[in-house]
Amino acid sequence: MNVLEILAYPPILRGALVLIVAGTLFPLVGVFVLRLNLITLRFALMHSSLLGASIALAIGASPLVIGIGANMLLVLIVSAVGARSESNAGHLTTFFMVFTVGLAFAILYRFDVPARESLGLLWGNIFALTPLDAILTVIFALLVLLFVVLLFPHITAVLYDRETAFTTGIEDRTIYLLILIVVGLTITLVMGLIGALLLDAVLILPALIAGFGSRSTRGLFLRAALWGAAISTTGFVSALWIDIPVSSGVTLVGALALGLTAGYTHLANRWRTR
Amino acid sequence: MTFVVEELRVRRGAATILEGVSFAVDSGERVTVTGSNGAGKTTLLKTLLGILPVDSGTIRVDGTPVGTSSWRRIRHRAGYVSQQAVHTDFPITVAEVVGIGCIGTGLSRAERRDRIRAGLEQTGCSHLLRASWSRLSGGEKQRVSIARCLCRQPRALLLDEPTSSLDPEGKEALLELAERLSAESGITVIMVTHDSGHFQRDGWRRLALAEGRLLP
Repeated sequence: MNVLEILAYPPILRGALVLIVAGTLFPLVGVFVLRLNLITLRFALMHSSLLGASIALAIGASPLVIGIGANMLLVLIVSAVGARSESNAGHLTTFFMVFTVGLAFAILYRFDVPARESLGLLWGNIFALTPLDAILTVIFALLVLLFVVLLFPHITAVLYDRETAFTTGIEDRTIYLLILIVVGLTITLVMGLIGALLLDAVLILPALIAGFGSRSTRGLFLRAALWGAAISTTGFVSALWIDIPVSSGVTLVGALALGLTAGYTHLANRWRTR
Repeated sequence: MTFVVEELRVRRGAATILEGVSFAVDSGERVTVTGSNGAGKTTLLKTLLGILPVDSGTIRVDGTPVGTSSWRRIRHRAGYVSQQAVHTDFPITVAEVVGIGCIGTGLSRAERRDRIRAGLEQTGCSHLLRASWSRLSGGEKQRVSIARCLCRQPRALLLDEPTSSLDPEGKEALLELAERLSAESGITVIMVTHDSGHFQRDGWRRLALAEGRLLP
């Protein structure tokens, strides 16, 4: 059975379309994570999603809804504390990063959640998306695009330097909070697509690769989206071709692209300085 | 833009940074704030734009006492360049940095482009329009930062030690730029400097700070 024949199955085609749309647009969020140094917060949000999903599995509710609720609560708490002290916000984020995952596993154990469902939270399943899940994910990805396009000058100012943005009369705290909310929602959704363990392939790797050689902020966002599209599509097709999980395919292609780009940039810089 | 400061007091924890500071700056005037490290120069400049809160005293801008609601409006009419140019490897072009100054001005795309070019021309940086910010020298970054402020046609420029990382030629060029802007556009310039020797120049009034107090 070739790739085209496999794509004739609706769940596979649906998964492919969602992955390519999300893979193209969610790296825009990866730019926020890298530039605003939200790596610790990203872990805390992943763990908080896991906690939300654990609670949902234990009580028979929607993991997506509870996960989003848990993440929004975390974003609001961290943002409120961060407005007073960045260092306290950092400590609080680390606390939540550790506490939420501990509580999640305690809940999974105490409520006898089946191991298969628990592990599903970690690796996700793109082919298990319902038509409603797919539509919601695509709509949210388009909203992320709209957010970046409409607020691009403000976002550029905040990513460049928050004090400069503030002294220019920009509501930098509001823009920052909106960015955190977008990051929180994206992480919850991406975990449902490809799972927590492989989230970086869709969110971070394309944004990281785009950083090599970009000279403008506009170019950085554009390159991140293009790299995301290329990695998602190539990863998906490769996974079907050689019969490995899609999440592994996307991650391996992303890691390979990062390695090759970093290596090429290093060699090109050495060549120029000779 | 005029500034009138009366009995300003700023504390950080147990430490008093500014105490009983009072002075006035007229529209179009050029003022330098000097003093040694820790004298409170940067704090004073930041309180004038509401970047730092004050514990007591009043600040009047254009005759109106400022409060929480008016700071944003004042920031739209004044330009601020911080002590250290933003050092970042974030990919951003000079045009994008200068364009930040146009946010909230309600200009059309074409008008914004014209303002960006005009700001860079005034600061002698037209050739840097498409350059990457991270490749600029310290002096170029400071001049581009001033161009960013000029984009919004400010009525005051507040500069925090803008010459600290510049060579003698760069310092002279930047001071001449500030003087020209003040003379041609009537912009009020308040400049903090650690090196008071540079300001034995015509047309500058000196405010000297020591341990948070203005010297007579």
